[in-house]
Amino acid sequence: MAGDKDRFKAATPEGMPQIIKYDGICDIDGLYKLIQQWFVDQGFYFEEPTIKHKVPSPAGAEQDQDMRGWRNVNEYVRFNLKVYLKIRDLKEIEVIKEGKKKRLSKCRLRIYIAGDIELDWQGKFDKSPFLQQLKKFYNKYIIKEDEGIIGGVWWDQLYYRMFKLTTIIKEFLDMESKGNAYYDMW
Amino acid sequence: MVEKYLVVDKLRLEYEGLFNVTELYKMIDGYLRTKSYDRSEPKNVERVRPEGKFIDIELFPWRKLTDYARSRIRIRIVMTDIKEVEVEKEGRKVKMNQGKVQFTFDGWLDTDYENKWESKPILYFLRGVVDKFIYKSYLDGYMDVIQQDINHLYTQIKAFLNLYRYSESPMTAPAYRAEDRF
Repeated sequence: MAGDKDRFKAATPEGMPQIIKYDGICDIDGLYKLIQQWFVDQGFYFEEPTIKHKVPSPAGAEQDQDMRGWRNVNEYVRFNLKVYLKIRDLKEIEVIKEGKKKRLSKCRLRIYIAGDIELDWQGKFDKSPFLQQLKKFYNKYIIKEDEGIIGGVWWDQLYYRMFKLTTIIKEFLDMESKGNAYYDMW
Repeated sequence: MVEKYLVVDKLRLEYEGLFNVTELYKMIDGYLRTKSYDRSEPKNVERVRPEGKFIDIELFPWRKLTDYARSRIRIRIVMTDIKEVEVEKEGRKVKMNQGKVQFTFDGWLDTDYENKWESKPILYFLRGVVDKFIYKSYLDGYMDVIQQDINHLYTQIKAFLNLYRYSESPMTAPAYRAEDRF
């Protein structure tokens, strides 16, 4: 596996994680399913390394969920995407929606979405010092990390996919700031 | 480090009354797309409160003007007491929102955003000299572009909120002399 040094993140405002904060009533189970399904639909291998759930106070339960997805673009480039859900003061409530009883959750929700590009994910260039130098040269001058195919094409693709996920989550939560004028990008 | 020039400092707009939050957001998003800005939205907060929704959005779009200069805009939108109301418009019932909204705009010009002129002290010095004496008119032109973009958006939002009628010519910076332009 490639180390942290081989992970690319654009040195622009794009490199920042996208954060959604929502405080209100929502369908947490539906949200999990939505995010998981999105990963699968986009061809990402989906994994959940950590799930924490505890009830520290009568204010409600706390839940932290780490969702990760990766997708091999080609033999050298891999997309990594992380969605971190932080739920506080989680309480289950029953609401009547369109004449039907429905179990929903009242909570404070924080969603962090971040991604990076892993270069040489198979570690083929880590086998000797010569190959490592060759990789540095290849990244710097051939594919040009910052402005070339990595920064200009692959990062752009990953970034706008992240945005689509953000938009889908906002639409699911019925937030007022939904909509995406960049919907046709990638 | 990127050299940052502050072009627009805390331009504010406040409104209280009827408007459509989603349509307003879509309008701003669409405007940034048409101006070729890359999208960045580091913060999006929505809290449902008994007195109405609280919404806090921070947009940080940016655009490469050249390989050397980049424009960055920060738009902070804070909405409070946002309630859903039904109003009658041209004989039809339309869902709208009522509440307060505050906008804050900032604009920066970033130069050497790829840090190409920082590998050696001599290059850093040369960049300072070039920026100050040779490239100055170009940088002034870029600043003018950023100011125009922000002022145009400001005008569009005002028009959207019906604060005054939309005018085709956006506000610009105080007029430059012809020789100061490109």
